[in-house]
Amino acid sequence: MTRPLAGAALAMMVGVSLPASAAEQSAPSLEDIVQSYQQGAAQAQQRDLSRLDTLLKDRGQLEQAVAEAEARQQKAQARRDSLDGTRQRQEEAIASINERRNSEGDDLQPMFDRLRHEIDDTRDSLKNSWLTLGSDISLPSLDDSSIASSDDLEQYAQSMSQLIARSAQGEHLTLPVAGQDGNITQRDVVRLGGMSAFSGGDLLSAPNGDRPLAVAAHTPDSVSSELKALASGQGDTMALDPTDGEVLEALAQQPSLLERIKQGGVIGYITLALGAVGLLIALAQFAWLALVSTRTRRQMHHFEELRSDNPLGRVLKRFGQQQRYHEPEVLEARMDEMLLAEQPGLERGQAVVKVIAAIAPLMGLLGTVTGMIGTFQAITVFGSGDPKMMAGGISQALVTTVLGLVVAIPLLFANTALNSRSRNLMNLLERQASAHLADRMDEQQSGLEADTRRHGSAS
Amino acid sequence: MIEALVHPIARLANAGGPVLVVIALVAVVLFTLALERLIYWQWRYRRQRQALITRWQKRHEHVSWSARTLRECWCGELISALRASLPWLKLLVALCPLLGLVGTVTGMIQVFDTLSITGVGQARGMSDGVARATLPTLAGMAVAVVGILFTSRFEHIVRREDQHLHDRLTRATEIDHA
Repeated sequence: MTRPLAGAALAMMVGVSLPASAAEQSAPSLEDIVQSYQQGAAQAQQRDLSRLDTLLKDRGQLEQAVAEAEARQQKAQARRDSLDGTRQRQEEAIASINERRNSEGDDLQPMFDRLRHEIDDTRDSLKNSWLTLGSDISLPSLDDSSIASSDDLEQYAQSMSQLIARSAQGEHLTLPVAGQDGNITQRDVVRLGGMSAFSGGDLLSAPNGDRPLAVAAHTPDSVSSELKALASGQGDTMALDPTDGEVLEALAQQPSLLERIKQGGVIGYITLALGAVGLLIALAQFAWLALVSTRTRRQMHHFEELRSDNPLGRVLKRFGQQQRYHEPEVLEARMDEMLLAEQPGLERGQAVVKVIAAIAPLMGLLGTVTGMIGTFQAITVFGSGDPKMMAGGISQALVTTVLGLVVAIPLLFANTALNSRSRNLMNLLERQASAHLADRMDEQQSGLEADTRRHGSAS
Repeated sequence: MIEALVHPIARLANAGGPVLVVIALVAVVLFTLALERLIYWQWRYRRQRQALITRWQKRHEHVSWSARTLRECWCGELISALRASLPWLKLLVALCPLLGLVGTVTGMIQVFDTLSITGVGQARGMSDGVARATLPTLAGMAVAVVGILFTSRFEHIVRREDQHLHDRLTRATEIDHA
């Protein structure tokens, strides 16, 4: 039972396109519908036949109706003739009036055209102007054939003088403004003549017809603080965009520092990472050198107590363990050996820093070249017609060069600092050790002489 | 008067951008260090050398190994003091062309930014970036050339002083012994 019903409903939905809900509620079978349609057609035929029958029978009535209709038509004809006559008279009157107007007001016609033109122009330019903010200055409306009355002229002159007065005014207004997020709120707006308007610290983008005011896409920070100061009456400088929003738009499109770095791509990131590693190594080594040099200096003031936490103390301590009465050349060789052993610790990290400082500009060059390859690919695809298409790739190529140099310069500084520091320490060590050695040789010499003298006197 | 002096400099700094100012600072540091070295060499170093020679003459003997080692030691101390800031001078000289390159590249970035905003129609809009690209390079090169002249000359002076010192010490003792 349910299946044929469902099938019928489907057929009606597809074929007869009845509303689906109605088909589901009543769901009459297809045969019923056909039957009722046939019944209706038979009834209509029956009705027509009976009407024809009565008409044919009542012929007199028919003729009367025709006569009535003809009388109505004659009456209408007569009325039309009289109206035509009126129209012709009126047209003649218009022609004569126009002729009179032309002959009398021939000089005025260009002036009216001019006025109409001016009014239209003013209306168009007011549509995108700050001057009408918060006031409704109405201009007289003139159509093509109307004659401007002295009132119209007066009104136009008045509204123009109002506009001129407003162009020299700055005023606080409260108007609905669309923010960056698109929400429209009532905000305090400062209008400065016909040049600019701002709300809080944000410049507003130029008004556009009837749409509510909107905040400009990007207001530079320095301009923003200037505007705030000006609005509160503390500042007397302000920024203008004389290009009607073009510069503001360009500023909004200018990439920030982070976006610039992002433009450098993988190579830019690698360069920065290398630079960070190099700087960390340099800082660590610099701190270590500072520690070592303070310890060495402390050791220089206390030679009686040799500590092994600094290179000078270590060298002298090991030297003190040497046997006495060596030849000077042997002692010198031993000392050089010990100093050489201390050198790597002081010069640690310098090679890495130097290599990174040398690599960073090369990485920049690599980024430049890959960026140029991208640019030339863009030329191959889009042609050289649109320089904007290439400009993106080129500035991308240049960013890596800047990153390379920016990384290399501090590392060069760090390298020089490390180098001079470690060389100073090494020189200090060498001098102190040599001085110590010379003292010891003197001592040894005098000791030897004393020994010989003692032996000589004893013998 | 001051206005007339400062105004062209301010205009130049404005046209060349921040990199030009950095190069100017580097140049100031470089030439101050150079001047300081020259003054040191002319005054302090000569006095110290004289003191060293008299100290050496006062020593009771001049021929033993320890005496020679001590002499080397003293000479080394004096010469390395004379040489002290030379690595920094060399670094600053090497830095100048690099800074010029930075200026060039940032200027070029600015040129291409302008290009992407205004299109090629406005060559005048690009001139700002071109000035920022070329002026730092010029300035960097100029400073580097003068700096190189100085450092190489000073290096030569240090080497000559080193030999001179040894000569004078030897002669001083020879006269003594003779």
